[in-house]
Amino acid sequence: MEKETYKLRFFLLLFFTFCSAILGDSAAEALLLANFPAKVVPLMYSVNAFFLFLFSLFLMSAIDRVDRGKLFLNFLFIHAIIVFLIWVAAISGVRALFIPLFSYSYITKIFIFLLFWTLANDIVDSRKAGRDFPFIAAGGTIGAIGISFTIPWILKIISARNLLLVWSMLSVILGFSFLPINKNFKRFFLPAADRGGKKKVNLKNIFGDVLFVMKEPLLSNMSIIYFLLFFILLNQHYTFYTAIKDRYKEAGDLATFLGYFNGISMALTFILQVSLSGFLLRKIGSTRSMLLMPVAFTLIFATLTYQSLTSTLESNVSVTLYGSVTLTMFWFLITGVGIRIAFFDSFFSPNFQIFFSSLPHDIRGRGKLVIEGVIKPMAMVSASSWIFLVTPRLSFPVNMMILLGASLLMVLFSIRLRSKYTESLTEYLGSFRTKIVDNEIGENETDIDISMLPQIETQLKTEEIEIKLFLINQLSKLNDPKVFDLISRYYPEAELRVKCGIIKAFSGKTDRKLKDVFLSAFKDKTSELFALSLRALSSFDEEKIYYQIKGFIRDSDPLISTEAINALWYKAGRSDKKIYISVLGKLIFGNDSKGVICGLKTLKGKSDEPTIVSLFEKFMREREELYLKDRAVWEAFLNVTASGISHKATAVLLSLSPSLGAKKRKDITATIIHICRSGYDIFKMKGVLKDGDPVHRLILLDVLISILKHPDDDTISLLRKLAKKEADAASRELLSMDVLKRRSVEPAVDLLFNAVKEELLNVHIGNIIRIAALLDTSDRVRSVMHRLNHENEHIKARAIEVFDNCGDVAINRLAINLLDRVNEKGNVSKKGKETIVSVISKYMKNSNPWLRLCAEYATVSI
Amino acid sequence: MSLAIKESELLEKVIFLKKTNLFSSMRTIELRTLASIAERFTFTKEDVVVKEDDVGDSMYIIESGSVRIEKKQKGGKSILLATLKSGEYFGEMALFDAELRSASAIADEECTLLNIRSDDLHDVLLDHPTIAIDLIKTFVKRLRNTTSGVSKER
Repeated sequence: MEKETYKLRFFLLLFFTFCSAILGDSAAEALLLANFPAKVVPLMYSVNAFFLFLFSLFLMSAIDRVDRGKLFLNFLFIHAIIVFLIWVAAISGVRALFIPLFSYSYITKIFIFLLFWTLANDIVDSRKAGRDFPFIAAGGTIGAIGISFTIPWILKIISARNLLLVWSMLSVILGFSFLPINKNFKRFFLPAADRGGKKKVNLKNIFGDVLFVMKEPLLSNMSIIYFLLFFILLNQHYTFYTAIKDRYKEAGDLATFLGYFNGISMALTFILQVSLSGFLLRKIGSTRSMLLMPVAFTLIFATLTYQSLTSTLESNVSVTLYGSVTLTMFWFLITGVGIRIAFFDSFFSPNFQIFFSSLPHDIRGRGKLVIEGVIKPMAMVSASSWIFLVTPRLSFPVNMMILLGASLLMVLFSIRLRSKYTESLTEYLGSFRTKIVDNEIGENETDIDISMLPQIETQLKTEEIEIKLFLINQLSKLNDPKVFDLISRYYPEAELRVKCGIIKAFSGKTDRKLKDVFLSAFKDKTSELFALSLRALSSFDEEKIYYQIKGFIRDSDPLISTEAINALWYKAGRSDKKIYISVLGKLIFGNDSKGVICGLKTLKGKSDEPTIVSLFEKFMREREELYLKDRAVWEAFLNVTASGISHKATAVLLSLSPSLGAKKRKDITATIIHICRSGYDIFKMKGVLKDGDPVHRLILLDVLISILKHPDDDTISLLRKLAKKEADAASRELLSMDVLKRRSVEPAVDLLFNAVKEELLNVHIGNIIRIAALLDTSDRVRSVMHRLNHENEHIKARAIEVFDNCGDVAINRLAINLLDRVNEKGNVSKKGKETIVSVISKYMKNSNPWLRLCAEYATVSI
Repeated sequence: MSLAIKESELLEKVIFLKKTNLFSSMRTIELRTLASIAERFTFTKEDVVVKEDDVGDSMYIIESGSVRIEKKQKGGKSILLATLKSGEYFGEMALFDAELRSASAIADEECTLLNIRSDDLHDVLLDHPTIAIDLIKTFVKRLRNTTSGVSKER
């Protein structure tokens, strides 16, 4: 069985689960009420809460450490045997068993549902859960509606006691329907391999689990929401029972009303589940959907408060709690409960499960059990105590106001859930690094001081070359005669690379001892050391030295000649500079790549001379082939460009980008960032950002992400327009992909399809995500943006959930919808106007040469 | 059409590489770079493609046909380790170290192989580091599968 078919299997499994649970509940309740007074029921709720607590505490330490599939299966068969034995006892006349049966029915129902959703969470990620769980939940509702109408019919044939036998049989069916699921998905249900030995189930560990879950930001917030929900829900239900008991005195009337009420509310739930629920959860996202239930509560209790207050004012009599209720008020109460049931089963319950899907496997089960086994019983006991102790002492409007307050509190925690959800998810993605940490990393440079010289002198003799070079650089910052002494002592024994490092680091300093060092390098036969000494010696401002250096301007070694130019440039007159520029021109337009590289490096820092700028711009235009082919020349070219030598450079680099690979595009981005940091205003490229090639936008957006802290209002407006433009372009590409997909049996068309898909993800959708990162002040989008298309489905789902819950909602959802559409591209959607010929022709004119080549090749195959 | 034969061959290789397990997750533009350094060789039945204990400097991907992987025993007799078919590969370790070949590869029938030399690959990786990341991911996945296979056997 493929993973995709799990949906139908779980739909059927939940169908039988509900059939079994509702039948068990009805049988247990009927047998209890038929044999004991009704006042025992509220007491049993407290007993249930107590057992639920104990049961969950036990399971809490076991659920993540056992094979969940095996646990579910064994439980179902043991449960069937127990119910069968109770049936045997019941037909033998043992009535006392009906009291524990009531609690047993409740606890087993909770356990089965809890384990069912945990198993479903184990199989799917949170994104898939959002799409599939409403459908699965509908299976349960159909089962509930079906069994509700079937029970009266069954009771015409058999007695209530014999319902126990049917219950036992349904549990066996449930077990058998789970067998194939367990067989095919067993690996998902196994405990995580790295969890070592089994942990002992004792109070200390259980308490530790509860504390652990309560410290988890998402789970603790979910716990508060769950507590408030059950507190409000039980109070509302108590009001509901009081109202219907007030209106219907006879048991038959009560049963009829409840039958209709249950049937209608379940039908409404079903309609919502199959129509609106999945669509809405997907459309507005999981965290925003969590607001539906508390908002519904708020509206219900606001209406009831208003209604009860106006009734009180009209009658001028304080309406005592749960006294006679007017017909209008009665229907408001009933409608409120109906809406609550429909919203709970359609939106809250399946959506609540989605949050568990995003949690790591090891805390998912424990989290669920703490909420179901500790928080829920706490809410039940609190609500019961409230109903018994406080409710009778307050007026009806005040009670409604309190429930309204609790609903508003629930709204507040549901809003807070968004930030807690992203906090937890980014923690599990392990990627969030704030700007503060980045700044600290940037600033955390080691400094040395003069007292450390003896120690450094020893290290310069013993350490690796890289460390020696680091120490030399640090020493050059001290500018102290003691340092110069040390350097002149150390220089003769240093390795060649270290000697070069010394000359480079101390070049520009004019200490007498250093001059001896530089002169020693000047006499060295090694060309690099000699070349470096030229610039170092030029700092001493001595005519004799200048004269000597001048002799090397036309040296055959480009390193020496360019270092000589560097040494003399700032003292040179117009005619000398003309000569130097002519030498540099010959070098950068020559055939020797070493000469080109040395020449290019020499242009750096001389942009005050217009001829140098013109020379560089000519190089940019005429030597494109060379610098794109030779990596060392490319690096030297970018190095000079990054110094901001020409204002035309950004446009030239952008024009090159569409035909380049990812690495060179990144190089260009880094270069433009440098140019901007040296004062270039990137918004001069606004026109390119607005109307240029998507690849140009990609690079400019990456630049903006690096240099722009907070975009101003104009930029925000521009970015939003750009996102819309990219989304339109992406939609057009998706239509073209549909056409290509239909012909993807042809390998060449399939290749084009893949190339278009990559371009769509990287460029158009990638640009929307870049815009989302720019618009997000929390930094979270930046931390997850590279994982939105991760190959691991769970990581991808978590990243998308974070993305969906921070920054600019409209822009983020635009990107998510497009990502979903791309990922669903295995299935062809509706037919557009384009034909395979028109699509291929379109890509033959694309600015991306790779797409053009693939399109050209595809024409051969069609 | 006007597409040069050289370019057609390159695209054919890209299509083939995209279908193999090793390269299926790579982007087509990256595969194009790999295809440009992948040289096609044809071997007849019983030709020795690589010999045990020779210095390895390249990997092979089987485009068509099949290849036997054999290892010499102490007595000089060879044992069959595996028979690889189209889409499978061997010698990938040689891309990253210069150790001796641990087994021989012999053409089991007439076959066409794509050969990627480590020097060429290293040059490509300097300009396309994402290819290196993709290759590491694939090798790690393979290692993981092997590890989980071993732990299951235990």
